[in-house]
Amino acid sequence: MTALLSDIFQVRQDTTLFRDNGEAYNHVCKKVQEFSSLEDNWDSYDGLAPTKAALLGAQQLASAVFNDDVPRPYVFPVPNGSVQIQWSCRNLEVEIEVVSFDKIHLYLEDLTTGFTIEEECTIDFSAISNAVADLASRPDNNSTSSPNLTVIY
Amino acid sequence: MDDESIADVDGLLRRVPNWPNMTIRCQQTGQLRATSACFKDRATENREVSVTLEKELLQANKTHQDAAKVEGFGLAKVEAGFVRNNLSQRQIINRDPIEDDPHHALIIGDKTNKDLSKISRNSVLLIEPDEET
Repeated sequence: MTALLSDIFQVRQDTTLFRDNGEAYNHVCKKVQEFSSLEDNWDSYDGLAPTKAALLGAQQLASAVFNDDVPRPYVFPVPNGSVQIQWSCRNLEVEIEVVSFDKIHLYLEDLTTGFTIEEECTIDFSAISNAVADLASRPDNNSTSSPNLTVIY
Repeated sequence: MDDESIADVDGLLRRVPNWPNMTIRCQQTGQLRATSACFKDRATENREVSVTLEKELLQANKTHQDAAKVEGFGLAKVEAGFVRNNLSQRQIINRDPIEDDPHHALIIGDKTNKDLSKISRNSVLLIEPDEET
């Protein structure tokens, strides 16, 4: 079934622009706010500061698909101006690179089975929804989520 | 042409910013590693990624700290042979000395996000970036 991120997001917009979807969502918002002050060459390799489209897209994505069961992600700027949301936990390696709200790259690897997904999502975001849902549904078998805050799953 | 004078065991060094902190704790090793985002490139869709040649750096009596260049930055290392032989497409490594890094080289070749994740997971953090301030 096709899941348009804009459809998901539209539902969430009924009550507020960005609905609070738990700690993972709040962490993305915090990082997005921090990254908005980055300047070009932040990485010393002439990297671009994150674009407004990427910052907004990351926040929109988190608002659309995160819930209380999603572990807190790592959030990174990418030298091409996008924003990367990443997890290394629950036997999954998940990387979501947000170029903009309607252009998102997903890479997922299940370390247990070796199953991988590598996909560029522009219309159908069901792969991202499924990846995040898979992550949220798994038992927390270690504590390798993003540091600095205590996370209770 | 791949520069064969750069041996497979030679280290390729990549700076790791401390703000934002570009490290992630690996669930398999429990150790910090540089995120794959660290190995992405500004403009070439990751076709050309800048690195510093470790062997030449040390032979010039410079240190890993010199390669980190920016105060507080960390430094990651991946072996040349790994990037040549373990990604979806074969990579070539060429010397590309530049004004502020005479030991500068480029890892050239198409790289998928899976490839960049593999580089990240096979890299070693020689210097951890300082805590964010």
